[in-house]
Amino acid sequence: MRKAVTAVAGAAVLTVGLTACGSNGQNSNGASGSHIIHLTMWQQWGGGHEQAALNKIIGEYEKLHPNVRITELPVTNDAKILTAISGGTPPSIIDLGTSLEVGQWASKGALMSLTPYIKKNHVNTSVYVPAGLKAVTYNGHMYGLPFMNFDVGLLYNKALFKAAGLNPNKPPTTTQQLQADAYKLTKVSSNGTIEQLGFLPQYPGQSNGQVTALEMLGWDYGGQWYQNGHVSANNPRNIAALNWEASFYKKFGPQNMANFLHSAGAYLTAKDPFESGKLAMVYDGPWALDYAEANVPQLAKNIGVAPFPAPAGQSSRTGTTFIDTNPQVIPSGAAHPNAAFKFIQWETTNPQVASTFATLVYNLPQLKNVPNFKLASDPRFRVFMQEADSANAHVWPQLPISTEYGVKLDEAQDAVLYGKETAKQALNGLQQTISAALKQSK
Amino acid sequence: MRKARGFTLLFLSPWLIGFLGLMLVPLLVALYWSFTNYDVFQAPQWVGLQNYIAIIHDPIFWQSVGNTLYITVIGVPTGIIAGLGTALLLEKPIRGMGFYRAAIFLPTIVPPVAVAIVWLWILNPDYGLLNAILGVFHIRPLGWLNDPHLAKVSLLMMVVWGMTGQIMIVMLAGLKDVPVELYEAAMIDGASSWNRFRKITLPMIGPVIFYEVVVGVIFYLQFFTQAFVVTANNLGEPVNSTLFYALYLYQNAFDFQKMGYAAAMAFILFIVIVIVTMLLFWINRRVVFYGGGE
Repeated sequence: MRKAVTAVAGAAVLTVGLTACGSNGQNSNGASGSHIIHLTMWQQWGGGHEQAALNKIIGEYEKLHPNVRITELPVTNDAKILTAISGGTPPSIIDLGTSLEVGQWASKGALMSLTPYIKKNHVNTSVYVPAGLKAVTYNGHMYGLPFMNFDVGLLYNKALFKAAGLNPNKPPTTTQQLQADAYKLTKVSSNGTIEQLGFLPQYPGQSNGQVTALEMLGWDYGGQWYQNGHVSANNPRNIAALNWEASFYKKFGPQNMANFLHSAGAYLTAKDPFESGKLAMVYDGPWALDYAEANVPQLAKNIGVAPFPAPAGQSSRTGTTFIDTNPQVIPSGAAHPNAAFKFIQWETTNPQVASTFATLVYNLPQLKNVPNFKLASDPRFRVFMQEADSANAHVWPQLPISTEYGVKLDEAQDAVLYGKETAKQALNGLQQTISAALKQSK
Repeated sequence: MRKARGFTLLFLSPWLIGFLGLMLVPLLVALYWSFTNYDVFQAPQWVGLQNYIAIIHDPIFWQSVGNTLYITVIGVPTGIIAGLGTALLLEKPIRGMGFYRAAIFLPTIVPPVAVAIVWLWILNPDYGLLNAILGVFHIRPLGWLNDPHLAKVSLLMMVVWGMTGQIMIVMLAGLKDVPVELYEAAMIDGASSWNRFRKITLPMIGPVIFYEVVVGVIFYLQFFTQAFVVTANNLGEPVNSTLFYALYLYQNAFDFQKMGYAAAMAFILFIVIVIVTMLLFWINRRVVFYGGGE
């Protein structure tokens, strides 16, 4: 009997001990006894050279501010971030990989409004490229500072163009032309397996952390996804864009297209469809050049970059792109928000940091003026910079249901590409679902 | 007496605390949330039946119900047939029986996540083992997990492969319990082996099969892990063909922060499982034979 009691007591002590450990963990996030302020930063760059670039600038900041220590940690799982915020143990800074969640999280109070900090610290927001600002603004408040913008263009494999009898210096200038070229660039084996593909409309898409093709193509066709305070998913131009995508699938068979995509290796590795030389054209960003250079140098030389074409007769929309940024946000309940803000202010407004970081990771500087930015003289990189500045660069709408809208749009696109629904049915359905969700969220 | 009750409670306390803290309280809280608009960050707002009404009108909800019913209706009998089949084969003393039993049981001890990752490769359309085997017979490569028509079947293959061993062990125990005299008597009467199986084996192991049906139905209604791992980047792909009930629930709760909606879904599932289990027990009382009484 006594033994049992001892065991229970032992278990209780152990529990208390573990709980104590838990609160210790909290303390390392929060106040510290000495004068040194410890900031934790969760970042979505991941590992590799992008993490190294981040550590480089953190090191510089710590040199300038010896009383601040910043520890970065790759955390790409959004559920984990939200759990930490709702549990009251968030990091001081989150370096998000996309603005897709900003509106949704801000509307729920998971992120701090930075507008008061911006005023207090006299941050001149006119130094930022406007599109990046738009991506971090929800309901008139700024919930993050933009860092490293990114957009996409048409990347094409010149060697494959040559082999197919196309002029490697004449990329398509209309979506019709793109399709005709893509068909010429496609090789199908006798059993229907696609050995080489001209263009894969929804790749790399959302599952690789980017806005889906359909969003961008909707804009390219003159459509909108959110207009005058209303969801406009079934805009006729969006439907036209989806039909254009679906025509590729009809031509080669949805299952053959899906098999081609899923047999390939992970995005941005030497085995991915584009880097392995199996996909001739792709809509992708400048970083793809950087990764290709590292993974497959002989291919990197042969990549051409052009503004993404618009439909024939609508050339004013040539170079349509989605544009986004890496929002530097401070979650609600973060320790040391003032110190955290000081860091992200320095990080996002210092032209030298922008230049260094953008060069290291092949992203676009979030600042309008960046001196000594060597990449700007690279003609391929310049395509992306020029697009970012144009009226054809679009930001995904920041709504309380931004994420849900994005995810369900991707599903609607899939349903049409696989031939389960017509474009009109799918986007009418999406319109209904998202309007209802938006209404309920208000 | 009082002292004895104190000790009883003390000994029960680990279970009691666990049940209250991890089951009953969360269950009641979830019930409350299901009537609210709740996003984890802001205080829940009472909205009455709004979540339940929205669920009924949500086409994706019904899609997830359809997917879940499909995998349950196919998965439960398939698992039991595979488990019972291997048990019957390995019941008789044959050479290497221990090895075969171990080989079939082995997948059971592999964690479901690892199973899913390995099967992703087996099912790869271009480089996968399964398509390579089909290729030998000149069958064209199939899309498996990327084919909306085959995705659920592909998931079932990996799940059944992982569960057959465990079902087999339980079935073997059941088979060992069938009195040999029954078979001897039947053989003297000239009963064929099929008749011996149908008239003796099946009724005698009825309770074991029933147990596996109940456990299987509950498992498949809550099916989550393998589907979650396989479609991690894009839950439910392709075309929502693997968006099972629990996956859609997760998506609403953690991707869309619709905790109230998800709680309502969880409650509907809870009620459905209770009703289905009661129904199974009702059938059990009428159909299953208990030799030694219940």
